[in-house]
Amino acid sequence: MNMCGIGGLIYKNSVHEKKTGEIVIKMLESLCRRGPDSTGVALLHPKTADSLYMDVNYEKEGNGAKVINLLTEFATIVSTTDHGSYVRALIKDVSDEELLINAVNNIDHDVSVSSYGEQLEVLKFLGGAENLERQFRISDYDGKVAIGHTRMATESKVDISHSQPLSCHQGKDLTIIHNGHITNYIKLRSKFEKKGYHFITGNDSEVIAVYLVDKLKSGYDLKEAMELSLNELDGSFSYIAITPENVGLAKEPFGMKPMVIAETDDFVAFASESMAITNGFGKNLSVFEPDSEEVMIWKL
Amino acid sequence: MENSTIRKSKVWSPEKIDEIQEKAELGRYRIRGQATKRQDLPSFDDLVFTPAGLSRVALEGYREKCDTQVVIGAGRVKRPLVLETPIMVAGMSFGAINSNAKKALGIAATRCGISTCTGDGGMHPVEREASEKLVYQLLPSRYGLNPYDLKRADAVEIVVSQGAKPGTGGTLLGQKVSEEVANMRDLPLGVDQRSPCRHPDWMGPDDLGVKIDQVRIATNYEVPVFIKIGAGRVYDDTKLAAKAGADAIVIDGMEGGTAASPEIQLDHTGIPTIAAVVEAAEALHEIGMKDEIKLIIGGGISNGADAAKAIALGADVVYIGTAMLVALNCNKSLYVEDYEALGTVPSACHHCHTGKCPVGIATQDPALMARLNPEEAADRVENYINSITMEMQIFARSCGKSKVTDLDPTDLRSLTMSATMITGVPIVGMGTTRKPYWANYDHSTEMTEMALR
Amino acid sequence: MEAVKAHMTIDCNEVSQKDLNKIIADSAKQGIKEVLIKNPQAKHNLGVGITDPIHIVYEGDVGYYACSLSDHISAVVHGTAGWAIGENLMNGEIVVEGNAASSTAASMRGGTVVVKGSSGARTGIGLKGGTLIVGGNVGYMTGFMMQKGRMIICGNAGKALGDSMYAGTIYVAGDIAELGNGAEIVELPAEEYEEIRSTMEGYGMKAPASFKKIVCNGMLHNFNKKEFGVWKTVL
Repeated sequence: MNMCGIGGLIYKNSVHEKKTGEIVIKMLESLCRRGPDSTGVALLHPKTADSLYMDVNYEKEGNGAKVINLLTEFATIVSTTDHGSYVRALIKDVSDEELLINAVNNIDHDVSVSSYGEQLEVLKFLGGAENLERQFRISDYDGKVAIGHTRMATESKVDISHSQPLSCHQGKDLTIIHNGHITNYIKLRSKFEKKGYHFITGNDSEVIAVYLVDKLKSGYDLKEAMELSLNELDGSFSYIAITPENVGLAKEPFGMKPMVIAETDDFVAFASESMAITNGFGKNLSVFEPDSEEVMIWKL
Repeated sequence: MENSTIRKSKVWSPEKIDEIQEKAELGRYRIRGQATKRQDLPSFDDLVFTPAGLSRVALEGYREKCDTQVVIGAGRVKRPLVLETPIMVAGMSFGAINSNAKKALGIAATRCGISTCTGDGGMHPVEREASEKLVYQLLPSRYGLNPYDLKRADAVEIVVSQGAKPGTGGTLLGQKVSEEVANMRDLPLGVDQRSPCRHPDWMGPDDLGVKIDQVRIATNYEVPVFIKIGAGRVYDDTKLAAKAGADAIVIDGMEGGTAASPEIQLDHTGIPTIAAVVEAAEALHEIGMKDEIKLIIGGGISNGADAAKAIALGADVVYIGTAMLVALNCNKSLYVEDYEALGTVPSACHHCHTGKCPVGIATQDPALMARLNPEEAADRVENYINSITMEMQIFARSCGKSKVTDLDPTDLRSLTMSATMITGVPIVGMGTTRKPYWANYDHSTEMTEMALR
Repeated sequence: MEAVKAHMTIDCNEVSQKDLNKIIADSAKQGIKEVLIKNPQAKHNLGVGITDPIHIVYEGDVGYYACSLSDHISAVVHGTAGWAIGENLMNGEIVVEGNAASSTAASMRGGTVVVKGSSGARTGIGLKGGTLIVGGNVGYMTGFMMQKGRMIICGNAGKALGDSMYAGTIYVAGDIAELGNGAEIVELPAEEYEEIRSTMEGYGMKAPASFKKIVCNGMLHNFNKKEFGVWKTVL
């Protein structure tokens, strides 16, 4: 359960006034008060042959080294860094992704895969945007999509695994960012677990990622899946779903969670508060608030 | 004669039969005033104090001072709220009760050095004049809210919900929406009023921080800001209210009263006050803000024992609403025929919602209002407040404490297993404190230990 | 004695939110006529609790609660507004050149709020007086539990329009996604249209050719009415 801030942007072309990462960090800085507990961001990278972004949460000291060792066994390492409670890795030549994910998750109770994807990378850390920046140098990133989240935990634990963005272990290259609470989480989770999905956190937002993966696997496209979610997810939410092909935004029928959008020929930016957009781009941009019960999709 | 015995069913009790038949007539749920009438709730009566003996020394009742003062917002705002005794008159709206009752409560509170609270319906000039320390409620309905009254307030209480009916808004039946009430609330005369269940302009703790800032600006950073929440998900809610920046958090247990609420909700929502105080105190302790942020507990507090026990469990102040009305004369055996006309008797009346209060408190009818003399009523309330203060001091002194606020959970023992489970306070007797000497010879004691865990 | 200046400028980059509000309030008290807020950067609570007459010009976007809990003020926002602009405004006039987010003019008690663009969910929620004009569309639950006053919507309205309203009037030129419980459409008298037209003209806005007039039908005013379907959805 999260009350929080969302802030991010999509560049539509190569006209970047400022680096994507620089803007998103500025946006998240101004959303700190909405979510002081942790900060995270999803970055979209260009497709390269056979490489896989793999991010892993852990809590206990020493388990980072175990994660890196295990990755070495399963894959060719392009790069790995251990951030004290988070392992960021880019790996190659993974023969069986499912086997690898299970192996990582089985290292210890506190270890779980945060996200994996050929193009999507999820980076998160406890505290505010400055901590995230210090760990991962987000401001160096200048790709197409960077969307972040600042979290104020309302019910579930404050740790990195419960931080957002959240993903589903049975679907790569999809991650979600959610502000609100899903009040039928327990029922949905039990239904999806019966269907064979694994949940890694006690955070209700995770069910959105699982829900979307399940719908995509059933043949719906992202827009259809998100439209269905408006009726099937209960509670309050503004959420964003990110895949290498699309970014989608959904708002529940009650209009309870804030979200504003600024769109130009060059970019789309969205944030819980327009202050974040102003701060990110360093200038006033005309923003609007999408209505409740709305799904918007941007093709990448 | 086997069939002559009249046996009443527990499942289909006379009350249940009444309830069904009344609903069959009304076509809606029953609405009534006061509080839950459940008989099975855990309460502060399940706890007792463990006064000083030899291990501790008691303080002398008449000679040795026992401090009762509490300050809310000290070190946080320019004008903290000083209470001479840890009691506040809980929010009861002008509308639910009338200006005579408001005046009486204000006079009594002023004499005792404590506060009253506007409730939902705006700040009545009579109340502002009578009450030296007035807490101004800011509710989802925003009835009568204005910047001038905000600046005149001695504290602002942002109300999320009420213990009697958490998760829903207020109700005021048309009989009580008199011309003055309608004007103050900007409502049509005589309309059945229903207030929203959530604020119009903020939805969660993330927005709440901005709202608190706004209130602070509008009050020039002078007075404390409270958040009041009906007891439900107390532990998480308390933490979030603290993080959002409140100076005090009010937790209102399910025994809290109301002037009008769906009856079903009174009986089946929220958690009892004894449990709420423990969860809230634990939450503030957990985030290291137990001293800085004051915890105010309400819901069924009726005497110095309830108040002192709530304080021992972690509250700083108790909110008293219904009992104040009782001190005013609510449910007193006067005008008995009027109680009967309502279908009730003194001591069982809960007809606040009808606006026909026989003793002239929960009514806007001038003829009934005349039955409550504010000056005399103020004396009664003053006496009642003083009695609770003295009762609290009895417990503090007998536990060897010169400040009421120094009472803590180790001054208590529990009489029931459920109270022990709820509060963590050891049960009377050997309880969880130590093992009986024969425990090592008898394996059944292991079962007791397991149960206690 | 120093002569009182008629105008002053405050740069949000140079003062804190706390100081800014104090400067505006003090300026208004001293009789300063106009204050220019530079670089508002969509920050929250810009111009709260101002109760003396002053004209505030925001040179850019504002965040939550701009011009809220105020009286006698007039303001122009040259940009967009965040949640609850003009919340609980007692009297005065606020014009937003761009869009406004949710809860615009929530519980407003008097005066006029004009949003030239669109406004989000809960626009004019709990309105207790005054006039709210929106040039574009409005979102879900607009006019919920409205008590008094009037709302003029030039674009479309979202679901639950005027739900549980007690009194007051809503005018909508565009489509209504769904009327709320207890609200109904009635005929618009020509003189009311004329009044709307001239009010809008005063803000340089051209009134659409026609409006639907929405008022409270009183169905929710008495709990003892046996409107089972309605009670089930609203209570």
